[in-house]
Amino acid sequence: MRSLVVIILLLVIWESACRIFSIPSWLLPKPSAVFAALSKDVTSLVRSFFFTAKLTVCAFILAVVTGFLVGVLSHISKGFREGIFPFSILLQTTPVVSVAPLLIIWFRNNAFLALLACSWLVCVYPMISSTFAGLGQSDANLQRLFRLYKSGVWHRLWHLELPSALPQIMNGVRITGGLALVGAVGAEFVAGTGGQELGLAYRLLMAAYNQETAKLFAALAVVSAFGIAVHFLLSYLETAVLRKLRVIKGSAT
Amino acid sequence: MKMNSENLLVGCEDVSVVLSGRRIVEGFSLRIKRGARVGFLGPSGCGKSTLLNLISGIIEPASGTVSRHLPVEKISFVFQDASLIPWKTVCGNLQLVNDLMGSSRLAKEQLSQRIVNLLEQVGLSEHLNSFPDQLSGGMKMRVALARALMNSPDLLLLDEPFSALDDMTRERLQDDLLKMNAANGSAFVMVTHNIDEALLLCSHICVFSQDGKVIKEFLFDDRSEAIEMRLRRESKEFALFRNEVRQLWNSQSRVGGVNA
Repeated sequence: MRSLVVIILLLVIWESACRIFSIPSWLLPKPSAVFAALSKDVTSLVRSFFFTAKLTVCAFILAVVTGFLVGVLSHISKGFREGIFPFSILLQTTPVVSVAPLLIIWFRNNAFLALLACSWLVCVYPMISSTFAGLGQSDANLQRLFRLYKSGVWHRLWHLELPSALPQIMNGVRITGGLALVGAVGAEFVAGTGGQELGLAYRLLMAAYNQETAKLFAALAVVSAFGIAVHFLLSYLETAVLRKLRVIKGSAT
Repeated sequence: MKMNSENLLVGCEDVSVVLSGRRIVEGFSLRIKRGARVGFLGPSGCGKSTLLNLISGIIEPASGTVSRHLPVEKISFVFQDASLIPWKTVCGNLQLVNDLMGSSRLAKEQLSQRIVNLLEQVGLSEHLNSFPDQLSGGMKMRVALARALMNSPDLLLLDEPFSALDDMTRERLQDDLLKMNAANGSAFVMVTHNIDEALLLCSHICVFSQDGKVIKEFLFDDRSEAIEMRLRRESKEFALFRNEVRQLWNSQSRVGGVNA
């Protein structure tokens, strides 16, 4: 509620400043102009939003599933962990801009897959590292108990390590969600859409190219609103899951 | 109690333990018999908890031999922290041990009855469906004790189990432990920093130096019933033993060995 008040206050100050100081609209459009652009372009913005949302959700799901599996396999197999380690570093350190041309060549017949691969590269690492770190943090005494009774790897994973790792895993899911959107928009910036569907990044680029700053702000507002919605949705999911399972940070009580 | 080789549960002969390239324990020998009450007394980091891992079979010695004459299912652990699983109820936490038992698991009806009996024994009958975060520290420790008794252990390994508790709760749980030892004849090995606790509960105390060597062993008359050990607190014999252990610790401190 307080955030809403702050937002309204900022919009009022912004609108007043533009009118009082006669700031040109190509430099900083009034919020009213941005709303006008938003309502005028609502059809194309909604279409672009669905394209970016579809890309974000697909990248998010793919990153959560693959990141989780790689994290689990790294935890249970030293050989896998050591084998995959250099690639994990690559994922973390290689800018997606530098890989995009290669992905465009590989997926030249399917622009969506190229964008998906770019977004996935941006957002998968936090999921791998959160899962791996979380699985190694179960209660040391309970580990002793499971080892004493010769509990199998999968049994220990299912009954002790995975539930103990849930706070970290859910944290990873939340971060991955935010990065999936960053990855989706960033991917479209560098890779384009192959002239097929148009995402929000394309709207941003075109508005900037044509110096239609109000349209640029309108597209930016949609991207930001979507980012905030993703963050709150995943934060709510995180809290609900941890509360339901009574998993408190620090694992055993 | 008359002991013979058939009563031997675990035997350690001239054992050394090396962890991460560091020698933790050296030349350790011990015979744990049925009904024994063994205490490991020593400073932090001298390898007492490592020895519990060794006795249980979680780790193996670098040299020497450890012979175990009981199945692993007849060994139990109680830790310094209750280490309950927060997403399981008290009942679920007790079931955990049964789930880990493999072929010697109790059937569903027997299991329910066993859980009810144990919770009654530790005075927590009405908390069957409570979650750990709804219990006090002492109650959690009693659940941990009940969990350790789920498999009717012949050997109970206690790693500073009462150190984080208030005096009242500690005394009650010490009583519970002695009663269980007297009733079931199960042995226990307890790691502790507390000289009084070791003297009160144990009939065989190993005092360790900082470098993991046993510097003194105390063997008490074990003919009396375990529960009568509590009477020793006021006795002259108790005071003499306590004084002797304190002097031993002080002499170690002067040579830079003991930090407790």
